[in-house]
Order: sequence, then structure tokens, then C-alpha cells
Amino acid sequence: MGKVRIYGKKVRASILIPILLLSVWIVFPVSASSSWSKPRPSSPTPYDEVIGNAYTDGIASIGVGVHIGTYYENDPILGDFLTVKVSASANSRKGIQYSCQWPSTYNWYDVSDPTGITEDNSGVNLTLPFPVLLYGVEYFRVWVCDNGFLSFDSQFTNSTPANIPNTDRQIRLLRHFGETSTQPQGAQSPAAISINTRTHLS
Amino acid sequence: MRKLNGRDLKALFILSIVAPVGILASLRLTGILQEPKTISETVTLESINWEFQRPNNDVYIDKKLDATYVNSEFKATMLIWIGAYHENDPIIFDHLSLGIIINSSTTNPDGFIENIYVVLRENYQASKVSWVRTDFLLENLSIVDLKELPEENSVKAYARFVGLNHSNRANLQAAILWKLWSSNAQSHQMEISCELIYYNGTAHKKMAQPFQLRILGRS
Repeated sequence: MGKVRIYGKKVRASILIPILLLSVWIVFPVSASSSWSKPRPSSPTPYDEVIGNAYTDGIASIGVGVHIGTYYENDPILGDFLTVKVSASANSRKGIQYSCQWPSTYNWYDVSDPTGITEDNSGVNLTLPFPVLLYGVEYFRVWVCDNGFLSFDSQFTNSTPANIPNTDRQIRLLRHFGETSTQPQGAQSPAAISINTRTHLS
Repeated sequence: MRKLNGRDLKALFILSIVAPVGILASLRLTGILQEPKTISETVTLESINWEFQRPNNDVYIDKKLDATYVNSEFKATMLIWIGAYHENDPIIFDHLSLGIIINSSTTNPDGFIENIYVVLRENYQASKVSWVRTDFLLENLSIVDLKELPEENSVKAYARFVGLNHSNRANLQAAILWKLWSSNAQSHQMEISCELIYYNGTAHKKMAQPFQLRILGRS
């Protein structure tokens, strides 16, 4: 194999080519699918699939992978849930600083700070600390309803909130173990509210 | 550097006493530093045990282990809800879903629930416990400390709660995943202890209810 001249020096091509290939692999990581969608099953379903994506600006690279495990149905404690593992990596060839940040933890709405809900099947209209995008609409206020869900369009008084997705702009927040939709009579108003990004089946 | 004279040393001596005492007093007054409570009585109840043959597939168990402790000044009901055993999850492997529900109250108007402590222990290393943080429901309680420990520890996880506003009623609901990182031939034994400290109007008292969960390995 021939030689290549670099900065006036001859370097064997057999040495140079693996180095070039390796640097390309480091700087431009393999990109993968970054979205995942499946019809919601009605029974436990193992997926064991991985999606991910990577980005580089030539100085540093980051990568995020999401491993989708198994969908479980009607667990007496956890209801329907999906196991997901999120992995992230970052690297740079130069000695620059970088950081990986997990989104900050949610803030509990302390039950000692009353919502003002006094009636059964009622709600209170609160201003959101940040706009929430739901089904393409940005909301700045929300109804917090005593049956354990948020309603973005109106004070929803039904004690059986619909599952996500729905056309009523509701998000169910709390669930008592072993229950499917309603709280028992005399149950407490929502003790905590959190809005997190969640991977959900559609 | 100037040599310290007698007056300087005297000032330094007074400062070395006043400064720590002032800091301690302000920490005590703000409630950051609390005086350790003297427990006048501790009642440990008999363990409630449950065992289960480890299956080779997903099994919905839906079993409730409940305990009630009542005396003239305090009542507590503690429930361990065994949900389902799931096999071979690609991410968390074999695991059991568990719910913990504690309802407690004091009868004396001056009484209140001081603390609730839930600890989960297993001596076998290849297991882990995770709190499902989004599934906490607390009433008149605040989380002081919530931990999951590495598998080499016998204490796998714990949660400390403190009663709010000297309320005479405190309730909690929590969900956990007990992950079994072993072959199906391996048995596991988890001890769950629910400890409550309450004030009856004159003294602090403690009540502890242990639960033992055994998963028997398949030969």
C-alpha cells in the first residue's frame, strides 16, 4: 500500500485509514430512530427495543438511548406501566467542560397548602407555573379536580376521568391501589401534582 | 504579624464560646436542629409473614397483609399489598410490585404523629428495592429522607417521614418494586418494618410492625 504525505512527512496509508475511520466513528456517532410508537396492548407485552439519537458539532458529541422493556397491564399496585431505561453519554476530543443533566425533580404541591376544593366532584382553577402543551394547544391555567386528575378545558365533575389520550383534555394524576378510576367516598383531594415527560402508548 | 496580647486572647476566648452557642441556639430556634425525642415506650408487634413459591411466569397475586394496633391513645393500621410478580423484564428483570399503606391517628387532642419510618431489609445481595416516586400519597406527612441503597447493603431502601403541623392524623401510601436479580432457584426474604413515633400529650411512644415476605426458589 502507498504512502500519504502529511505536513511534509510520509505516513503509510495502512496506518492512516484505520485512524481516519476511527475518528469519523467518534465524531459522527451512528444515528438511530428517536421516536417509538406502538398500539396500546391489552395484555402484558415484552418489547425489548432500543431507540436513540446522537448529535455532534465536531467538538463534542452526545448520545441518548431509550430501552423500552415490557408493558404490564392491570398490576394491582402500579396499574398499567411500561419499563423504560434511559442512557445518555457525552464525549469530546478536546478538554472542554460538559455536563449531563437529568431534568430536575418535580415539586410536590403540599397537601398542607389547601387547594380550596371543598365539594365532592369539583375542582379549582389554578395558574400554571409554565405553559403546558397538550394535544397541540398551549394551556396557562388548569382545573385541579378532586377525583385525582387535571382538566384543561373545563371544570370536569365526573368522578371517572378518561384514560389518556382523550378528547376531554384531561390528565389523570393519582390512582389509589387496586382502583381503576374512582376514589372511595371521603378520599382526600390530590395530595401531590407533578407534570413529567412520559413515554406513553397511543 | 502582631503578637496577641492578653486582651486579644480574652476576646478570642469569649468569641469561641459565644459563636458556637449562638449558632446552636439559632439552629434550635429555627427548628433545623431538633432535640432528640426521648421514647418512653416501644411496642414491637409480632411479625406478619407471607411466603410464595417463585413462579416461572407473570403471576397476579393481589394479596393484602394487614395489621392494626390500637390502644387508648393511638391507632395505626399498616398494610403491605403484594401486587404482581413479573418475570424476565428486559430492564429490571424479575420483580414484585408492592404497596405500603399506613393510616395512623392519636386520640388525645394534644397528641400528634411525630415520625413514620419504613425500612426494607434483605440479606441476600442480588436484589434491589426502588420506590415508585410518582405514586406517593401523603397526608399530614413530609418526606425527610428517601433512599435506595446498592445491592451489597442489607438495608435495601428506607423512607423517613415527619408529621406536619402536629396533626393527630397521618396517612401514607407508597409503591415499591422489589427486583430479584437471581435465578428462579434462589429464595429471597424481605423484612419490612413500619415504625411510628407518636406523642400522646405527655410522652413520645414508638410502635413497630414487622412484615416478612419470603419468595421460595424453585428446585
